[in-house]
Amino acid sequence: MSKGKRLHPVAIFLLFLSALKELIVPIIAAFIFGRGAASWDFPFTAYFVIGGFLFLFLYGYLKWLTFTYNISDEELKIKQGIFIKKQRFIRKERIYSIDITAGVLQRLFQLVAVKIETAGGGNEPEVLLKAVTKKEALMIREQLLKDKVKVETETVDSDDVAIDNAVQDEQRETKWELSNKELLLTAITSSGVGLAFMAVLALFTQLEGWIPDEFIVDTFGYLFHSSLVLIIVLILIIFLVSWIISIVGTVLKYGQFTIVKKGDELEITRGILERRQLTLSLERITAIRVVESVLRQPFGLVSIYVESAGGGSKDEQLSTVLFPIVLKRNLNESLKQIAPDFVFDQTVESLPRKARVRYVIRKLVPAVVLTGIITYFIPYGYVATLLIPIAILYGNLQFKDGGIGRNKGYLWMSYRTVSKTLVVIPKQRVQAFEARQSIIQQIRSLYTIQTSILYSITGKSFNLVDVSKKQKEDLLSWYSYEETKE
Amino acid sequence: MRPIPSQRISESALKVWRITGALQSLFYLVIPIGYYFIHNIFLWPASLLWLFIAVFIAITIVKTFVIPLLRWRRWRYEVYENEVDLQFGLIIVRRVLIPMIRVQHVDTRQGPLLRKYRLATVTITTAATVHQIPALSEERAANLRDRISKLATEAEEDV
Repeated sequence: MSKGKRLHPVAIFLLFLSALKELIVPIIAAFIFGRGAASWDFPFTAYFVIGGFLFLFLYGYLKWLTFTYNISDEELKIKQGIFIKKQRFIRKERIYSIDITAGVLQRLFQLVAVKIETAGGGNEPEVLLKAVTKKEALMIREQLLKDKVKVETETVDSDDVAIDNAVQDEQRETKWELSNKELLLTAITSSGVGLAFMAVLALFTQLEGWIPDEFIVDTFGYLFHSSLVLIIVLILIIFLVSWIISIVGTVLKYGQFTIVKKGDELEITRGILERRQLTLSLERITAIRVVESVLRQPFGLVSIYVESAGGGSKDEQLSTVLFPIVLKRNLNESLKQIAPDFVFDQTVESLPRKARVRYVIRKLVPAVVLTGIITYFIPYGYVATLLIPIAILYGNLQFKDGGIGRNKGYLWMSYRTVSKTLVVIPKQRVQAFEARQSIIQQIRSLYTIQTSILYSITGKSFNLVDVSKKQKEDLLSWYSYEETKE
Repeated sequence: MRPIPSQRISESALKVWRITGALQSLFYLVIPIGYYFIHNIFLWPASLLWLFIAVFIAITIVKTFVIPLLRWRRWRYEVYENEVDLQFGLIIVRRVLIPMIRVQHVDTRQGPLLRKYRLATVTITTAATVHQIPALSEERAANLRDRISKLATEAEEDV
């Protein structure tokens, strides 16, 4: 108990690799710039490289040797450092989330990495145990998350690639799974297609230089008399390719998505190539977002994100996906299973009618300016006037989708940037409430409201522009903790 | 309708803001000076120089006299038992409610200029946001800090 544990020896190799990765840029630079400077003899270079590798390996070994962790009743103790010894004690109740992941390298050795995050962590995860066995990882999680340490003999089937949740609890367990059909829907309607399109397009323009011109002319030249057709076909091909890439990417990311709820803890597991597991405490959820992206809205599909204090990975903009996809009319059912606190009738009171003009103008002005510039400078630029009706429609849509609602304990706001979003915030999660009015808003006596919540380690705020005076007053007194209400 | 908070900030704040406003407007002096050299070297018209000087003077007047006064008039705050209510902002009028149970810590700050006029700024920090009540007299700021801190520790979760 008193002695700290070391990581799995494979960690030496992983540490070596990550040290190598950090040095890769200087090494490449040395190769490129070092060449001309001095003509090194071959053996010298070889010794140098071998020596460097040995040194890095030794470094990894020492790092592994000096890194120990130890879980006691109250805290996690980490000792590390080769020359400068660092000791870190993290109290159990400060731990927000424990993220168990298995990268490709870890999976080769049937190992996992455990990421432990606490409040006020900064960008780096607080503690990263690079390589431990699955059994050990589950034990660590069990020990850290339970207040009273239960010594249990667990049965873990270690042959399966997935991180099995063999740890059975007496508490009631609920499970939510993403079916294959839903996974496919998620993938098909994923908005990653835009991003992939850009990437493929960039690649394609690079490729053009490599393919000999005659080849292009020969194959396509006689097929298409008009170059316009060629361009359209090319774009369609690129679009299709990027769509497939985006579908595959999404499937890999969200494949085998499961949420297991045990008491107040949610365990979210996802991914096909790289299994990721995130443990999230329901108490830490500061808001949920119901997002209807443009591609999903027509099918009545929504995705649900949770904002939480701590946890979350970077690629999801520090928000965690709760349900990648769910039918809007089944939303409450799913929420009831997983986050019952957030289930209620979310009726939205729309914005005052006089706000419409402002919403439209805000989109119209840039569109008109842009159209003017394009028409003036580019031949056939007047085609850009099409932007103007689009801008008007867009502004109208944003107005239509804006709205607020509240009950005693919750506030929800709906708004559209591109996707339509409904954010639900419990009153006790709102850190500060602000109502503001610009000089221009004063003319129509409209206000902007802003709610700030804790999110990760800093704050995040949600704005709703142009609410009526009555709505503003209503919300101020809703949020006020003084007895003035009612 | 929720009443506007009753407390104003110290009148000495006006002096401090006027001084900082005047100092800040010195920055805009760069434009006429820069143009003066261009005018000398490339023989650009002198009339523009006078225009720039006029603009500079206008900016200085606005920043030194108009803005501080308007800002001071707008600034209101009130500390209730359960929350802090702020109103401020020149072009955008802001109204902020900070419940006591959300307050993480309160402190007072004082730069050299504020110290000269025996003023201090109270800073209220929640988990997600930071708010300031600028330029209160020293003892008032200290009292306010202690009061908010006391109320914040006493406040209980009633939800």
